[in-house]
Amino acid sequence: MHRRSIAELIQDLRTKKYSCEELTRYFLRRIKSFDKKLNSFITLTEEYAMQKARLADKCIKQDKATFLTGIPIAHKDLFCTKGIKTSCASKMLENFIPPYNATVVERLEQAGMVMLGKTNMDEFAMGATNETSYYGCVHNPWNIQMVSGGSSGGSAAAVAARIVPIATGSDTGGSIRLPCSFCGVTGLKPTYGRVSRFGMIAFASSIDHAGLIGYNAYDVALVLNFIAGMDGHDFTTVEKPVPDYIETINDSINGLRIGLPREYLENLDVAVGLQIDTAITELEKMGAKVQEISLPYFKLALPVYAVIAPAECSSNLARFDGVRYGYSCKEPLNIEDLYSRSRSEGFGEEVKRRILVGTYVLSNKKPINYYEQAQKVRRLITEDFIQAFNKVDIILGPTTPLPAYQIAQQAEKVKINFSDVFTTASNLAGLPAISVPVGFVDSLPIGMQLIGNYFAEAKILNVAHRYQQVTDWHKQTPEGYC
Amino acid sequence: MPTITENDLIKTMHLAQLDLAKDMPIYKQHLADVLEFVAPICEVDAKNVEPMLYIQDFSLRLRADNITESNQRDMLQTSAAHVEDGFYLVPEVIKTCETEN
Amino acid sequence: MNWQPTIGLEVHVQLKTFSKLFSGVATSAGALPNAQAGIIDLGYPGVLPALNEAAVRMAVKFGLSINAEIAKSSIFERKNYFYPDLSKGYQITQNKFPLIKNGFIDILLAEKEVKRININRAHLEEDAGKLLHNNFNRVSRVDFNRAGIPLLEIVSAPDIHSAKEAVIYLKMLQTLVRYLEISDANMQEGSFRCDVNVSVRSNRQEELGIRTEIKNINSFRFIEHAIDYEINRQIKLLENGGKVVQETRLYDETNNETRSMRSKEEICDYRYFPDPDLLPLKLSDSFINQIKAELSELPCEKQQRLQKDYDLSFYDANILSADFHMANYFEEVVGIAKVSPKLAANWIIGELASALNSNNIKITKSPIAAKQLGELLKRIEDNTISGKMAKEIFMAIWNKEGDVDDIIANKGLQQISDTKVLDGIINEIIAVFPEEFRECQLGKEALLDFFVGKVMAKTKGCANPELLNKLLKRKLRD
Repeated sequence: MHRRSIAELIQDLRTKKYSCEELTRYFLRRIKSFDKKLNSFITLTEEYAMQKARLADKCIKQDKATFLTGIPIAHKDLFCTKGIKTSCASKMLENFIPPYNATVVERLEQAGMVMLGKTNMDEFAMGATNETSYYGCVHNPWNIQMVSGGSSGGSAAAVAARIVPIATGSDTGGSIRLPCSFCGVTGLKPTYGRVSRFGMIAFASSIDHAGLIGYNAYDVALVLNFIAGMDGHDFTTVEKPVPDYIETINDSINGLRIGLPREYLENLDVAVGLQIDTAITELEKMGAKVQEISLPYFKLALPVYAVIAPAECSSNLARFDGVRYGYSCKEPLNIEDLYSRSRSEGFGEEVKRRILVGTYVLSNKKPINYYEQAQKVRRLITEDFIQAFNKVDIILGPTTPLPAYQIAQQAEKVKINFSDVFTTASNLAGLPAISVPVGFVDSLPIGMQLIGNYFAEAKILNVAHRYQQVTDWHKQTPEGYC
Repeated sequence: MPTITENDLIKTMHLAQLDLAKDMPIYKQHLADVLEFVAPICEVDAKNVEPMLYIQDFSLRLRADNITESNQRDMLQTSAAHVEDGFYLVPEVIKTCETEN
Repeated sequence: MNWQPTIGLEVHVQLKTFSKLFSGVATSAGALPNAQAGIIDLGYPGVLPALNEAAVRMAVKFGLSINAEIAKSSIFERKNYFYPDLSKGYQITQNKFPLIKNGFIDILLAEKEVKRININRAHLEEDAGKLLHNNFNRVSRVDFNRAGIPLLEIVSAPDIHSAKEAVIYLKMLQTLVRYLEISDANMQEGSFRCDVNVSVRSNRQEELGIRTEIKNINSFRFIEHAIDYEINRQIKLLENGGKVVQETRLYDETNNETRSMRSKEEICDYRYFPDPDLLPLKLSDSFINQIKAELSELPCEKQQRLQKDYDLSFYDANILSADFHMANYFEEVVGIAKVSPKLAANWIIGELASALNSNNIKITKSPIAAKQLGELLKRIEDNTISGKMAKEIFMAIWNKEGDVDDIIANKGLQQISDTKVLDGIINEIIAVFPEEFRECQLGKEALLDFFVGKVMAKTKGCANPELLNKLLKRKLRD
């Protein structure tokens, strides 16, 4: 069952090859046997899942099933789940039980999906390796010594190990695409405003995106159909009709104009470049036309991100003060002590570092207002993309400069910090982007990234799907998880 | 590029309500590294560029003035560390005037 | 040396919406602690603000009423600081790009003495919760019911130069927001709050002096006292070669003085930045024009109209227009009963207002309807009753004893204005006191009052006093 795509699982459930209960039990058993090694889950909601599965069976029997009824899913542990612990992988929220569902969770619950649990992540989604989690790092199923990538590392590793068929993730600087590249799975970050952020614990609000990680583009499109669209709880979502992402997924890509940013290819690792070239060749065989483009301000994406993300994070995380919910220090001497100790004891190192940086850049506005200047340069970066989309339909490049690296690879810290070099720009611009596996480097998967124009999720899903029709990288499963 | 003084760091820690006193040199270095890393954006002449507040030129939608929530106090207060008679409790606040309203 | 004080006023007006500025939680008063604090007001993780349209409309309405610019695009920002009454660690407010800019209010210092007070800006922001101090067990209690109630912060330009002007301005502002029906604007209840900046400068000085801020004073009288005290304190300080320190001061009502609060050692650094959860608020012309069309008569317009249309004094028109319910009541009385506006104004400002005040009743809940007061005044005008009787009848209507004419009849209060009847009574009295009458005829004028008294007693005060006087005098000449 773990080798079946969601489309196939739906078919199987409809034709009663097995029941939702059996399917759910099957995946739960897989999680239990494999996740000791991976550490991809923080919370397993076994009882809840079994209940929901039985309900799903009833629905199918009574012919009341909706499209996704009975399909298992896992949610990144920053999506609030009503009555179920939502920790953000932080000691701060170790005991936090939200009284509401995130909109993404709510919509998928309504669609009949069966939540198996909450996946591990970098604390408050701050990290690119999944090593900042209070619950320990996530191991890469392709090589247990390697990081899964972050911050949605739990979701990516779980999907890669086929212990859950699809999972939600969030992407602020690459947090969906990066672990997807490292784990060899497919992950989509939609346009900003396409999917609600309500109930998704905020890291950097203006660049936080909710998205999906699955076996393939088709599965992602199926589930995206249910989470996309305006939300009455998130007024940054856009009032724009949502297309059926399946309808166009098989469209021909003959004549598709692909832009290769010169800046993505400069100094690219040769082995990684080779995989990307091979993928391009596949697309060309299907009639795509490739041209080089330039994104002159692209090189400033990381520095801009390094201002905006911590600045917004410092403000977003101010609400964790030990008063209304979350970790509260013991026997505070006074109010300042309550704040300072609850926060210093409740947050991990990386989170504290970012809050500190964010507070600093917001408070020092002279001679330069960092945040405002970053928002200005952000516009320049975005305008590069808008220019580019006058000439091309999608932009293609590697998702990450290198495949996964060793856990606790301190010496390589610098390299690690740059692993989201290709991903942050589309967060800043708010453009949709998908990562699809395109091969292996040193026995580790590597991903290719397709960036689309605003609200062109259908287009990049279409290209990704056509590519996956002629390749089988996405079908590879790591040894030991077959 | 601004240099970070010990005072800057103390002030920042205070604003952030974080006590990082025992690792001051590490954080100071980290902050310096970040400022060096972001320095290139300060070089960009963006005087005539509007800061980007949203992906496109959309306007904020508004909510109709309806009461949609009911009292959930007892449920919500189960997550608080200290409550009494429906109030949240905090250590005594002596200063009388910080909130601006 | 001559000193010029300058006063800046920051007024926070709570807007009268049903739900909060960014959440669907009720704003009504009197709820149990934290019973009106939802997940958005409490700043739960992952929740997002949803701007209340009614609050925006109210703010725009205010902006239009002070002839201000309504920003086509305004921006909500976060003001970051930690305090227990602030749930998110930041307050959503407007900073660089407020909704309303450059308006003004003309205040009336005296008849024909108008002064223009500029209003630099007004913006929307959310209220904070309330902190209650409990000194017994060294804890403070927090109630977030108030958190998220919409506030309009109205900031005046440094155009005000005396405590008196400040209070007139504040009262006009209060009247205005009540006219617009956007706020109860009640100082005691905290729906109209005022922070005062005071500075003084010598007449040789170009720039404003260093200012001090006095916070949250809860009555107009105390505001006047506090400003006067602070002006004198600063002048005295400067004249003795001292320096004013920029600080926040607290007004002590009991001793009528301002006292330095612990000066802010820590520099406030609010780290404002645009709230990424809220897009720029863009208002179309049609949105603004629709509100403009709904705008009704403003206090100053009403004042002028009352004075002109009803030939009222400046004083009367000013008092009536200060409360638009009172002005409406006045127009109703005059309209229904067609009585003299001056008479109506006198009775409303006098008898009615004091009865309402002493019973703490709003004019909208007056036990005497405008129609009833109109009928009463009509009876004064047609000489059915005297002014003195009218007061008695007024109290009877107040006590729900019936309608005007019934009460007049029941109490036998109808004035005796019939010459024949009155003449007869006078003759009866003269018959009883022939001596006194003769003395009176001989010039002992004081005795006239004696006869008036006797007739009044006989008629239980119903004799028309003017007619009685006339008849008595005629009798004496005969």
